[in-house]
Amino acid sequence: MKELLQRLGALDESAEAALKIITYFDTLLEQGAGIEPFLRGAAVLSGFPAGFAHPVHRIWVRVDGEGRPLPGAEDPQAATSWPHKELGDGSGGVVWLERPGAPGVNDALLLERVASGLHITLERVSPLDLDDAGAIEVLLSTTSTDDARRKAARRLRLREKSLVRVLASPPDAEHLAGARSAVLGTRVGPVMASVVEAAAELPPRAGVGDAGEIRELDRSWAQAQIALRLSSRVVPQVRWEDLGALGALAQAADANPAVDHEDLDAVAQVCAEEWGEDTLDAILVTDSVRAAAQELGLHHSTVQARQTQVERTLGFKVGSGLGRARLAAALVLHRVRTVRFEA
Amino acid sequence: MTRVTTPPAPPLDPELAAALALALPSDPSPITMEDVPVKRAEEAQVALAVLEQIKERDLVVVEGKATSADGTAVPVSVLHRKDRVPSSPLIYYIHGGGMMMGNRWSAADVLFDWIEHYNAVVATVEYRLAPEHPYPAPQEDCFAGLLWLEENAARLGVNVEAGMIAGISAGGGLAASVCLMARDRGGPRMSSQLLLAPMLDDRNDSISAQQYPRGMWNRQENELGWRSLLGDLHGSEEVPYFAAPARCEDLSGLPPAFVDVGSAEVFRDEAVDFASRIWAAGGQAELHVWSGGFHGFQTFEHTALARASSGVVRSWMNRTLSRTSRA
Repeated sequence: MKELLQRLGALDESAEAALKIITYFDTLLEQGAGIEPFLRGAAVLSGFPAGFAHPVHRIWVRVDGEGRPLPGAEDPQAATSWPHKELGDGSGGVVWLERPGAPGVNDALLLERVASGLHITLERVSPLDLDDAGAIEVLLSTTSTDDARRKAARRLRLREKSLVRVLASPPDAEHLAGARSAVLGTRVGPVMASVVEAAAELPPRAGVGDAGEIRELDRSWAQAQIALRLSSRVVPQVRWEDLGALGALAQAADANPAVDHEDLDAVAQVCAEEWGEDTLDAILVTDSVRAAAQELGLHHSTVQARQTQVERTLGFKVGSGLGRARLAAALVLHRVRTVRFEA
Repeated sequence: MTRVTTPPAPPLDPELAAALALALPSDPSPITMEDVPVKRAEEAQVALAVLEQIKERDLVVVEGKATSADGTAVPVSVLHRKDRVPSSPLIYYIHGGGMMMGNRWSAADVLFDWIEHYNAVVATVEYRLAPEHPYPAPQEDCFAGLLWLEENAARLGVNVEAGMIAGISAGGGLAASVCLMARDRGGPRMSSQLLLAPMLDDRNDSISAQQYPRGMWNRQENELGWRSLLGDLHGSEEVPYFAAPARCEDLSGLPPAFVDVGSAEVFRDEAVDFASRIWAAGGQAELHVWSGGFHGFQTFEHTALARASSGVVRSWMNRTLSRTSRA
C-alpha cells in the first residue's frame, strides 16, 4: 500500500479522532469480534488501562495501554471511581477507563461505543434456548436443579446475589416495566408471575411473596399466589409478610380440601350478593361502621343495614371481639376454596 | 478477453480489520513504480532514526563491505551489545520491501528485540534493489554477505554454522535463496532459516494470489516486484530457483525452517507449499498460518493475532537457539 502501516497508538482529542473511534468499534461489531478486542481497542486508543466487569457473565478483565492483560477487578464498584459506562441492560456490567484527572474529550463516546459493543456481543453469544417464560418457570419451580436455576437467572439477567421477590397478578394485568413476567398455569387458573427486585413498585392488584435470594423464588411464588387469592377490590395488594398466621392458615387449607365449616357456606352466601364481599372486607379493615362506610364511600346507615344482614346470615356478630377474627378466618378459607382466574 | 473473477477469500481477523480501517482509507490504491522513489525516501528517513536509536542503546556496530559476484561492494552492518558473550548467536537478517524498497535498517525493531532477548549478534545487509539491479544482484549480494561473515568470523567472534538466517517478505525469499545457494555451492551452511511471510514464487498464480487483488501487498504489487526483479526473465519457464525458491523441486538438505504467513494474504499458498515440500524431502520445518492475518499484520502489536504470532516466533527461536529469552 502507498501508506506506511504503523502500529495503533493513542488518539488525540480531535473530531477526527472521534470518527476513528466510531470506525474502529463499528468494524469490530460488523466483523463479529469477541469481547477482548473491544477492551483492547479502548485501552490502546485512549492510551490508558481499560477494564470490564460483568457479574452475571462472571467476566472480569483489564488490559494496559498496549492491550496486554492486567489482573482483573472482581469488584465492579472499582469502576465508578474512573470514567465509566454501564451496559444499560440492568445487569451491572460496566466498562471503564483508568485515566487519572479529568476525562478526555472523547472518553464518553469511546466508553459508549465499547459498552454498546460489549452488550451486543454478549447477547449474541448468550444461550437462547430458554425464552423468558421458560426461564421464569425454572426459577419458580420447586424441582429445578441449581444449575438450571443459575442458567435461568443469567437468561433473565438477574444478578446472582440480588434480592428478589415474586408478584402474582391476574392474568390480564399489564406487564410491569423492568419485571421478568410470564403467565403461568396454576391450580386456580392462569396467573401472571413477575420476578422483581425486592424494593420494586407494586402493580394495582398483586399478591406479594417474600423477598429473598434467587434460589428462594419458588417459595416466594407459592406465597404470592396465596396472597393474590386473598386480595380483593377493597384490599387489592396483599403482602405475605402481612398475612402472618392467616397465611399459614390459607396454605394449610389449600393443601387440605377437607377443611370445611358451615361458616364458609355462610360467607359464600354473603358474597353471592353483589355488595357482599366489599362489605365484609370493609368491616374487617376498619373498626367501626362509620369507618367502614367511609371506606366504601357510602352512607353510614347503608353500611349498618348491610352489617345487620351479614350478621343474620353468618349467625354471629362481626362488629368486634371474637366475631371479627372468626369472620377473617372464614373469609380466608372461603377465598382459598373458591377464587379462580380466567384468561 | 477472459473475465477474471476473484474467488471468495478468507476474511480478515475482526480485530485486525478494525485496526486496518483506521490505518488506511477505504480503498487504498496499489503501489506503482512511481511510488517507489517516495517510499525509498521515507525509508531513508526511518533509517536515520534507527541509527540514533543504536547510539541511544549503546550498541557496538561494526561496518563491513562484502564483495558481490560482480565485484560490487555491499555494505554489511554487524551490531551487538557491549556485554555480548562468546556464545551470542549470529542472526543474519535480510530486510523486506518487495525487492524494490527497504534498506538494511527496515523493521529494525526486530533486530533490537533479538539483541535484547538473545544477546544476539545481528548482521544486516544492504543488498541492491530492483528494478535498477535485477536478478541476480540482490541474491548475490545477500550470498556475498554470508561469505563475508564466514571470512570474518574470527574477527567478529561469530559461529556462522551455528547461526540463523532470517528475512521478512522479500527478505524471506532472499533468505531462502541464500540457503539454496549455500547448499548448491558448498558454501557456508547456517543452522536455521526464519522465513516470515516469505516472497517465494514469481508465478504469482496460486489460489491465494487470485484471492487478493487488493489489500496489503496484493497480487498487483507482487507482480510489480517480481517483474522488477526478473526483467525479461519474468513470465518465462527459465526463472532459476535461486531467484524464486518455490520453483526448486528438491528442497532436501536445507537448514530447518520456520515459515509463517497469514491466511488472508497472497503468499499463503506458496508458504504452505514450501514447508510441505521440505517435509516431503525429509527435512525439518515449522509452519504457522495465521487465521485472518493480512501481509504485515504483525505491525498491529496490540492485537491478539500479532501477540500470538510473535509469541510463536519467540518459541521457535528459543528452541532453535537453545537458549531461553530474557523476557
